[in-house]
Amino acid sequence: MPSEAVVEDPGDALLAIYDRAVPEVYGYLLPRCPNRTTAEDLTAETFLAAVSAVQRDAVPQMTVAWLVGVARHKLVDHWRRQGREERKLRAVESGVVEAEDPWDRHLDAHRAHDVLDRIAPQFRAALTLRYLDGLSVPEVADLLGRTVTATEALLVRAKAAFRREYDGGDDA
Amino acid sequence: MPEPVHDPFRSLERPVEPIAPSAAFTAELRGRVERALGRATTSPRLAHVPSGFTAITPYLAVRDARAAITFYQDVFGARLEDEPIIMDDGRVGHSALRIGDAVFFMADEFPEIGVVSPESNDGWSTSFVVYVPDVDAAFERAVARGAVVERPVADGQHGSRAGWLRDPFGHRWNIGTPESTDASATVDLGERAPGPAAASEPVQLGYYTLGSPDPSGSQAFFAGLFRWRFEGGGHIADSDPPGGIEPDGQPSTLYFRIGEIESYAARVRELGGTTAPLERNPSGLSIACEDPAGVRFILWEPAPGY
Repeated sequence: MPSEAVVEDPGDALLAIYDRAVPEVYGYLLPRCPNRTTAEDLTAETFLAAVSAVQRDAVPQMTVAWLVGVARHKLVDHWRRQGREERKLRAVESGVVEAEDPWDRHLDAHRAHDVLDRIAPQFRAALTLRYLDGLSVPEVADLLGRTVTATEALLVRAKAAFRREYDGGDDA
Repeated sequence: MPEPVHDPFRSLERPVEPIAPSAAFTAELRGRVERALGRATTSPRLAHVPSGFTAITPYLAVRDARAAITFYQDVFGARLEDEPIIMDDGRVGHSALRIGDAVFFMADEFPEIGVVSPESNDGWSTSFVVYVPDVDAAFERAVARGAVVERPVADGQHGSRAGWLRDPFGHRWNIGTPESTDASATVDLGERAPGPAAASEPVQLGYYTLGSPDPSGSQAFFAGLFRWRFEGGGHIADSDPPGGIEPDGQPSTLYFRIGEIESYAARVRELGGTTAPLERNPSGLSIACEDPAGVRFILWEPAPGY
């Protein structure tokens, strides 16, 4: 059947797009990671996860966009590991949801990146996915494994934490 | 909840811009990917060869390049690398096709500069050898599209199952499949594995416990060895993944993070293992299992945030 002929081995496809995909995946990860080493580690994890997906025949279509999606999952896993290490999860989860005051301020991208590095990993996760990646709240909820309501509450707390750190960082 | 009209966070949006990591990192990772894919990488990519190419690229001349492109797409699963270059007189001046990890170029005949296809010659000066996943299927497709069999597919040619044919444009191809290829063997396991989320990622260890007949003695030991600080219930926060010392003499156990816990439990039983009843905890769902040899482990579907 002709349709079978055009189905390419996804492992070949991965190697064929590798040189084009590496800068895209690394370009996604680097601005979202604290340093080069983390971005390189997660880039490697992304491609090795792609290999095991190939071996399980679990790749819908091997594209750069699919690999960036895998990278996003790897980033979420990384934050989750950090969250466990830092043991901040429970303290944060039990916090009262603060009211969202209007905050009109021009954000400096460099400083925002530093501030994101300093706040708790689950706050960093929520803000990065929502604002750097421009995902919708339901998409963020799906990636973080939370309900939409819980994600909305998390975003409010994350913005408050970001704002405290950003404004407080002046005298630091 | 409605977003404020002037949401300063909106300015953080960062579309993906390609950034190249170091060449050494890129090359090293490619090696790891190739090894993980089981590709026998005989040599690293040569610096003087452009990316995506090997050191030799065949350049075919044919009388009808458009028809030939369709033929090679249908028969070999070839992909056009770019739009073909069309000359003012309508002839295809250049096209690039990829089969698997190899590229070849193709153009219409240009007899005015001596570039002619085998149809304009008597016999061949060059033939092509191509490896495909299923040589019999590829032969069938080729013949159905007008190729002529020169030598039927047979086993035992240097470890390949292969045959020769002449395509409708006069080129001569040896098509083969390594006899040892058993592509189905690597695919089957994954297809049966439950859990779409888990199927695309390696299974992660989520938690572990160390069994000890003397839990407080073991706590003191590991506190001395790794500077571990123990929380309530012997919980260890200073390892990745986190773990714990079993408080009441239970044996050591590993917790695997998975999704769709029920389908994994069913699979455990299908494979001859046993499962305990589902437990619900704030940290998520868990099912204690034993494999047929009696190895204990725990399937854990973490609650959000764990």
